Amino acid sequence: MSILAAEFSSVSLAHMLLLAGVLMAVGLAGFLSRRNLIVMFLCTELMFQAAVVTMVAFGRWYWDFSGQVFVIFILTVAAAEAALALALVILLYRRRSTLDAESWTELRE
Amino acid sequence: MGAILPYIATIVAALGLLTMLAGRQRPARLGGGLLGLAGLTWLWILAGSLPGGVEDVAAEVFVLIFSLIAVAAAVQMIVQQRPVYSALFFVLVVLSVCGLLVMLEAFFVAFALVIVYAGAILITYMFVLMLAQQASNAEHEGEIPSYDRVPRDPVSAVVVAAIFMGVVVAATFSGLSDLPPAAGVQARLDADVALLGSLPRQVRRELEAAEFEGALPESLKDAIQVRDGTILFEDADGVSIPLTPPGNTSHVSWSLVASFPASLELAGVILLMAMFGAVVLARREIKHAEAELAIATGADHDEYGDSGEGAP
Repeated sequence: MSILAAEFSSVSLAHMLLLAGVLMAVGLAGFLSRRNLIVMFLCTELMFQAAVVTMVAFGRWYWDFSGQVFVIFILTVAAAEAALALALVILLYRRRSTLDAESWTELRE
Repeated sequence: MGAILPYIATIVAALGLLTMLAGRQRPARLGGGLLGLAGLTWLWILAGSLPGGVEDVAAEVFVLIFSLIAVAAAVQMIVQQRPVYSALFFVLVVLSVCGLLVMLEAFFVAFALVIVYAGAILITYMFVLMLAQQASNAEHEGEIPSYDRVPRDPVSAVVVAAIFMGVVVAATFSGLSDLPPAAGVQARLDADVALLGSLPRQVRRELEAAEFEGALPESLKDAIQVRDGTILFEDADGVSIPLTPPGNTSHVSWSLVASFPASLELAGVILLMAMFGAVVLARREIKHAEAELAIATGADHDEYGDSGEGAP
């Protein structure tokens, strides 16, 4: 058993889950209440962070490394999403010269 | 009675978040922040008595500090009016989450997050923000546009978030006692032994460093034993050499290539398709090149807006 494992052996799972819940809830509130397209996408990235904390906390609880492998996949998807979403945002911005999400409300209909 | 306390704490924290989102004056924000902090601290203390709770106070102090920074930065991120500050606070969230990952012994993932998230993805966001900001600031000098100043319906947003948090609290407070017990020292040693049994080259290197001359046995797994918490290589002749346990990176990379090879390929495909997508989206802009020049030189705006396909 490594020395590090002995030192860091007990982080509370309940606290990690609650922290992830709070990060996810704050991201959700931000996504619903902000009107700036880029900040809305930043809020989804915040929710990714919450998922990362949950994955790693449960992975450590069961000493199963699949949780950390999934974080690597989350990272991949987040990078792909950032590239595509930001390309779309730039496209939308050039059409209307604004980052306001409400200038695109006609897409609802 | 005790069962509803976590929900009351959640509601207190949600009220604090609402005050911060809706009240744009400094005193309102400060009060909201204190209210939210009080609610979350209460929730934190209540959760301390759950199974799988606090055993190591020193580690818990670090966890508390990193969690406080993460939550405070996350709230600042959605409250800030200037999007650039939001992005910078998100970097702070990522860094403190990485601190938590180090506390959770996920070293590789922690550093990958710092490099890829804080280093690469956030820079992309900053680029786009700066690009958009620069263009809009040219018209209204230094002014924050109304869509950044006024949040859209903060009450229902916070209500939805609070309901979500209530579900998380319910699951955490009632479900944690049903979980199987945490993996102990034995499970960790078993994982180390299983991994070393799959890595003959690494074992051979260590044995050569210890001046072991014999050949590796047919089944390496049977030759690796655990005695008194140390991992030993023992062959039929009675040779016994201690091995260093594999680190976090070895475990993660082995899990990645041994358990999820197809997903690894799929991740590559996703990245490739995202790259194609970004190129396709960006290529469309070449048609606007002349119109963009017109804007840059201060010519008519409307002409530019009409040049995209299907634009009204």
